[in-house]
Amino acid sequence: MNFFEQQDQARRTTSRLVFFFILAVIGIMTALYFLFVAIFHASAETSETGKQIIEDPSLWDPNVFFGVLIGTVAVVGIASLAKIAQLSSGGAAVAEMMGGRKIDPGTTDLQERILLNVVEEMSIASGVPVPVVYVIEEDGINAFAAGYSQDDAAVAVTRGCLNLLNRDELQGVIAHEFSHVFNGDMRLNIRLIGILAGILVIGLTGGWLLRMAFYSSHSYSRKKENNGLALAGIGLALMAIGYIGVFFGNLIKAAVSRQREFLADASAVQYTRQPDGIANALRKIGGSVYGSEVNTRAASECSHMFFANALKARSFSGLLATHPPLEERIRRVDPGWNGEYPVIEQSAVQPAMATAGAAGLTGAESAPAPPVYGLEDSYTLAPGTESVQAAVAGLSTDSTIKVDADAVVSQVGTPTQQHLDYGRQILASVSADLTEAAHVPMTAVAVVYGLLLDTEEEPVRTVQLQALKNQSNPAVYKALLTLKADILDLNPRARLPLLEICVPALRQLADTQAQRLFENVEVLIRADQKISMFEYSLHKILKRRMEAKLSKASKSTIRFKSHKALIPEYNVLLSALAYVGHDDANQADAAFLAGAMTLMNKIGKVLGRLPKEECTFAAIDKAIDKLALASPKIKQLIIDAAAHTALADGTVTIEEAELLRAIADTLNCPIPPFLPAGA
Amino acid sequence: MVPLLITLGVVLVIVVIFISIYNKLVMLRERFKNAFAQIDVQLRRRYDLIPNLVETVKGYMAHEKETLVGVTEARNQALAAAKAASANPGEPGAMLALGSAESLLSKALGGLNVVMEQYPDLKANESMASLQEEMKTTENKIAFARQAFNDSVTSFNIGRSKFPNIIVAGSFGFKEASLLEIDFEEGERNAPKVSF
Repeated sequence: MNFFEQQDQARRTTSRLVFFFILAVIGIMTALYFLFVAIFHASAETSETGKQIIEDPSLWDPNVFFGVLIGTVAVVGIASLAKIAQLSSGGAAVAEMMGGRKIDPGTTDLQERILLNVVEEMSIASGVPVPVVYVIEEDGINAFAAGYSQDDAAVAVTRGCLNLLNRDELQGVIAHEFSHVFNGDMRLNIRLIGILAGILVIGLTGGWLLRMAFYSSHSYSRKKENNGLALAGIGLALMAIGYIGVFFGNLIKAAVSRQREFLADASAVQYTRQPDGIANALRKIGGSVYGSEVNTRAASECSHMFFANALKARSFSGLLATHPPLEERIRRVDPGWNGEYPVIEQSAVQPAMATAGAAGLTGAESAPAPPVYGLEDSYTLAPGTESVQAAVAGLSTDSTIKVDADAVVSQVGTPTQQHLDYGRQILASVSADLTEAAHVPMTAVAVVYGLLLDTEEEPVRTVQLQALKNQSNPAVYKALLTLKADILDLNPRARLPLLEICVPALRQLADTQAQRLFENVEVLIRADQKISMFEYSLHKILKRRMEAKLSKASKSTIRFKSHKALIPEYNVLLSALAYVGHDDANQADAAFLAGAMTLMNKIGKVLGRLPKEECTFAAIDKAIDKLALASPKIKQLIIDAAAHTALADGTVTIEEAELLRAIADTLNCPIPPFLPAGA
Repeated sequence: MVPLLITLGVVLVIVVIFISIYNKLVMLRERFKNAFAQIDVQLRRRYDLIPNLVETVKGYMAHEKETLVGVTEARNQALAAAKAASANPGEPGAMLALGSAESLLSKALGGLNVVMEQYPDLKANESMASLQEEMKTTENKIAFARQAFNDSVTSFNIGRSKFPNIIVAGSFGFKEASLLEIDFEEGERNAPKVSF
């Protein structure tokens, strides 16, 4: 099952959930209706003291029916919506609700640094924005991912994770959480919590009525005792109905969650290609005295979001367990397991972590001789402009990347060990000063400006720097001057990844600072009177990332389920991609056809290449934004066609890769980076 | 039945509005709290640098003990103030205390800078130069982060005092947050006053 089918399935699961929810609410309403009819009948009898015999024994009472209908829908609806609204304000809100502390991107704490590095590598390897990372001060080994979309995702791990797991195990856990991000599980989780909160309110109302009845029977005269008794009866009945609803709700939640956990474990193995990481992490949970417990109050509500069971084991945990048994999970990942858990001593593990971490900090060395993807030609470069030019030219013609177009779709959302190694190498190729700068808001702004400096033409660069000197914050400008040489020296492949690393720090800018950033970015882009593919992609990606911060989570609504309205956009997209990578008109035509054919076969409509003049950035931009509203199935076809066009000649130039990244990013389909040839 | 429905509908609308206002206020508050964390990181970086600075300077200037003690004391006070402030960002008392402690520290460091001018050997020292550069960039980062913090505090305060938000703010204890004012320039501006 590929990324698109997973997304589709997550949506189907969601609609099934909604169905169950409606069923549950109908069940509750029916129960309440009978309860109230019974009460009214009873009260009618007592008030007339037996004179009035029940004239109308029918159970149909429209007043009661509509009262119950509206009351239930209002109460359950409000509670559900309120909870969902609270949670969908972003992954950060959920992480904070759970008592998480945000790790500063520029942290100097070794354990936290390692965690951030692992997360960043995974982000680069998979093409997903770097999530905000939280740590929860708990001794159990656990983690979770939260958020409404990839753009506002947050990943949280417990202190136990940092203390007890080594780098590989941590990577396994993070890969598991990233799988939840890819597969649309986070949104599913938030809806589950919301629905349960709604049903729970009925039970809580009952409890509240019962308490009222209890107090009123104590403080008021005996005349009211009957009233109090009736109130208590209603309360008790409401509680029973509510909690039975919650019980079944939990049953649904647990059933869905267990399936998604197996999937995430399997995905983690797929991404890291080493079952040991996640298997050892699970084994350590079994061996640790704290297990995977998380004791914050909110944990029970969100228990299904965690990496492993966050709650203390209960007697009837089989049906209600949100996670499959530890043993079963380990055996699925590692069939040859002997059934023994390691003995964990809290103090003994830390040094091991420290040494593994120290190696991890220095980058690629910690991996056992990972294959090298043609990155080091950039290491030997002298910082002169000419040699950088040569390197850029060399990379974009000779050492372009060879990829199989058919493989691209299956790669979306499924990075592999090679991608992880590549991500690690990309990170390692960035100088320590730049990496540090990318993690602090002020210098991260300087890095973004630096990325936009023209690498080839000195006069353009002078104009750009002059503009910045006048318009940007002096401290930022000064930071830029010290970073300039490093940035110009950067491997072209590391440029967009470096932008991604900057994003968490950039999101901490105040609105006024962010506004200034965008103004200056536009000035820098316009400095040479033309827009390059890199400039376009940077602007597009940056804007998307920052919008997720400024407005609320981007709602990914599906507006287009058929191809009819999208034909012009297909034409723009494929034509643009064809021109980007192929200068020769014949080649461009062939490239366009390669992509168009795959689409035309599927949709039965004719596509035509547009003249080059019509493929402006404005047109591309509009097309991508519209295509972002298509259903996952259509997106799969788009990515497939785009890949076939870009790869018609069997290679991806840097420019093609940048445009593809901007497309995939806007479409919310994380494509892992294209690995250079010779892998 | 109809009046009941209308009342219910009105209550529903009000509840939904209240929830959305509450969520917005929480978001704004989280934003400035996060912004303070940024300042805090850089402040601590600065506090960590100061003992190194004092240690390096000590060897050169035996006669300026008071200046050095003054710097160390100001640093310790500022550290304590920062700790208190990070527990409660935006709280007026804590912000005022941190602001004045930081201003005092800047003043003390400014004084130290003036004294150091008289020691050419010290100025030539390489590790000293890199330390000073580090201090300078850290101060720049603090200023930048402080701007972000003050901006987000301002937008929280505006969001909080609008109607009907102020009702929600009042009933759920969203107190007005306070800006952080640090007078970084003071040390430098005072510098020329030192007698010759």
